[in-house]
Amino acid sequence: MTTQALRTEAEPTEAVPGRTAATAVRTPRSHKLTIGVLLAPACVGLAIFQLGPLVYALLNSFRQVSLLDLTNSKYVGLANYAELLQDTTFWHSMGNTLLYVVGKLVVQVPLAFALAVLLDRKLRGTALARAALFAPLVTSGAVIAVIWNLMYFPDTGLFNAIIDWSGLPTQPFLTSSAQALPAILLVGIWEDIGFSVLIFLAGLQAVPASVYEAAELDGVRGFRLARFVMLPLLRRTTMVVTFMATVFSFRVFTPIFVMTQGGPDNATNNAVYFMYQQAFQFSNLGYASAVGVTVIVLVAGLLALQARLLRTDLEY
Amino acid sequence: MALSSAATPGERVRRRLGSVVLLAVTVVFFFPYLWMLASSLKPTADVFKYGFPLSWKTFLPPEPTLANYATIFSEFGFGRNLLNSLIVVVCQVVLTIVVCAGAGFVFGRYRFRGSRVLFALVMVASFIPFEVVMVPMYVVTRELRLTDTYAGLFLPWVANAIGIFLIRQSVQEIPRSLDEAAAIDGASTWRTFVQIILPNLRPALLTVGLISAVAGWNQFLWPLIAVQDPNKQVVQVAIATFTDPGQLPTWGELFAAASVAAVPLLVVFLFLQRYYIRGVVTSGMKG
Repeated sequence: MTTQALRTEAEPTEAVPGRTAATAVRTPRSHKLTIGVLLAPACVGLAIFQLGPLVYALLNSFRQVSLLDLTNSKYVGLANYAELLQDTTFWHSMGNTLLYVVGKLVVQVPLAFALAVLLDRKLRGTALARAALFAPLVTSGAVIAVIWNLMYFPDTGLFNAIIDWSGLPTQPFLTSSAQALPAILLVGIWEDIGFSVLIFLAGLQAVPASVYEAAELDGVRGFRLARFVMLPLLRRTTMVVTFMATVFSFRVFTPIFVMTQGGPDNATNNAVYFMYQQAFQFSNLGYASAVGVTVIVLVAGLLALQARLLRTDLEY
Repeated sequence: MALSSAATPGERVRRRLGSVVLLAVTVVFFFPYLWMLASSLKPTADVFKYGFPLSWKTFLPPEPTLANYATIFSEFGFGRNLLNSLIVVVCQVVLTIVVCAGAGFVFGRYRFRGSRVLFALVMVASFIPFEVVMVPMYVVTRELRLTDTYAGLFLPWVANAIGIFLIRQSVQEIPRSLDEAAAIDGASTWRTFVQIILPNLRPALLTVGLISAVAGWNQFLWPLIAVQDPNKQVVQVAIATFTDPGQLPTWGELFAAASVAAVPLLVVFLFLQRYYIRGVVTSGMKG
C-alpha cells in the first residue's frame, strides 16, 4: 500500500493561493475543537495500531521477549540480529523470498505491460477480459489458495487431469521441493497481475493521442512503438508497478499457510511465514521483530535500487 | 487508438489475433471460478470421480445439487462464520468512512501548527506492510483485551491511511469558495463539513467504503492470529482450516464454502468496478 508519496509530489495540489484557512473563520475556539474532534480518531487509531507497533517492533528487536510473558523481557543488544545471521532456516526463507521477487518481476511486469497495451486498443472482448483479469483482486487470498491447492493436487487435481489427458507424465507440484516454489509463484502472478495491468492501463490512458498519431506518421508501430515510445513515457508507471510487485512479494503469506506450510523441506518458507512461526509457534517475540526490521530494511534497499536502475536505464 | 476506420488487411488480422489472446486470458482467469462453482454443485462423492480422467463432467455438474451448501450451514456452522464476517465488515466500513472523512477534511482544508508533520506520519503509516508489524499489533490488541472480539477484528483498520489520503485529495478538488461562502453566512466549521463538504464527497466515500469492505471481507492473517474462539472466527479463516495440508478435505463442502466467500463480492465488484478501481489506481492498494 504505497504510492501516495510519489503522487503527492507529482500533483501541484498545494499551488492554491491563500491557503491560510483560519482567515475565514470567526470563532476560533469552536473551530479548533471541531478540527480536534474530526482529527483525533484517525490519529489515535494510527498511533495505536500502526506507528506504535512499528516503534515497538524496533525496540523488541533488541530484546529477548516471550509472547507468553511480556513483562520478563531483557535487553540483548544486537544478539537477535547476530543469531539471525547464523540461522540457516532464516537464510533459506530469505533466499526463497528473493527468488519469488525476481520471478515476479521477470514474469509479471512485462506480461502485465503487454496485456495493458492489448486492453488499451479496445479490441473485441476487452470488457470481458478486463473483468476476468481483475476478478482475483477482489477474491480473498484464502479462497484463491484453497482452489489452487485443489487444482495442484497430485492424484486427483485438475492440472494433472489435463496433463494426463494430453499424454504427458503427471507432476507432483506442491509435494516436490523443486516444483513447490514455482507453483506458489504462479498463484501469486495469477492473483496480482490484474493489479499491475490496472496501473499500466491508467498510465497508457494518460498518454495523449497525439503522441501515437505522431508515431504513426513516422511509421513507428508494433514492438518498436512499445519499446521506444510507450515504455519511456511510462517510466514512472513502470516504477510504481515494480515497486508494488516487490512489496507484495515480500508480504506473501496466505498461499504458503494454506498450501504448503513452508514445506516440503522449507522449499516454500519465506520471510513472513518464518516470522509467523517464530512469533506464534515459538513465542519468540524479539527474534520475530528482528526479522520484521530486517525485512523493512531489505525492502527499502530493493526499492532504492530499482528507482536507481529504472532512472538511469531509461533516461534519454 | 481509433484506427479501425482506415484499417488495412494487416491491421484487421492483428486486431483479430489480439481478440483471440484476450479470449484466452478470459478463459485462464475465469476458469478456476467456473471449476469451483461447478464442483460445488456436485455430490461430494462425484467431485473427483469426474475430475479424473478429463471429460465434460469435470467442468459441468451432470446432476447439480445444493446438498453441499446445505451441509456447510447445517453441519459446519458456516452460518456463524458468515454472520461474524458480516458484522465485522459493516462495522469496519461505517467506522472507516466516518474516521477517514473527518481526518481527510481537516488535512485537505486546514493548515495549523504540526499539520504537515501529522500528515507525513499518516503517509508513513500507509507504507508499513501489515505483515511486518503484525506481531506487535497482536500484542497491542491483546493488551487492550480485544483478541477474540469483533472490535479486535475491525478497530485496527478504521484509521486507514489510504482512505484519509483519498478523501484529502477529493476535499482539495472541492472549490474553496463553496465553504467560504458558507462561513460568511455564519456556518460553523462543523456545519460546513456536514452540509457542504460531505455531500460533495459521495464518490470518494463510496471508493473508501468499497476498498475497506473488500479488505475487511477478505482479510485472513489478522483474524487467524487475533481470534482463537471458533465461534468468533470469520469466513476466510474457516475455509482455510476446513482442510489441513496433507489431509483429504471434504471436497464438495470446501468448494461450496469458497463459492459463498468469493461470489457475493465478485458480483458487487462487477457493478461498482469503476469506484473500486479508481481507489486502487490512485492509492496503489490491493484488497
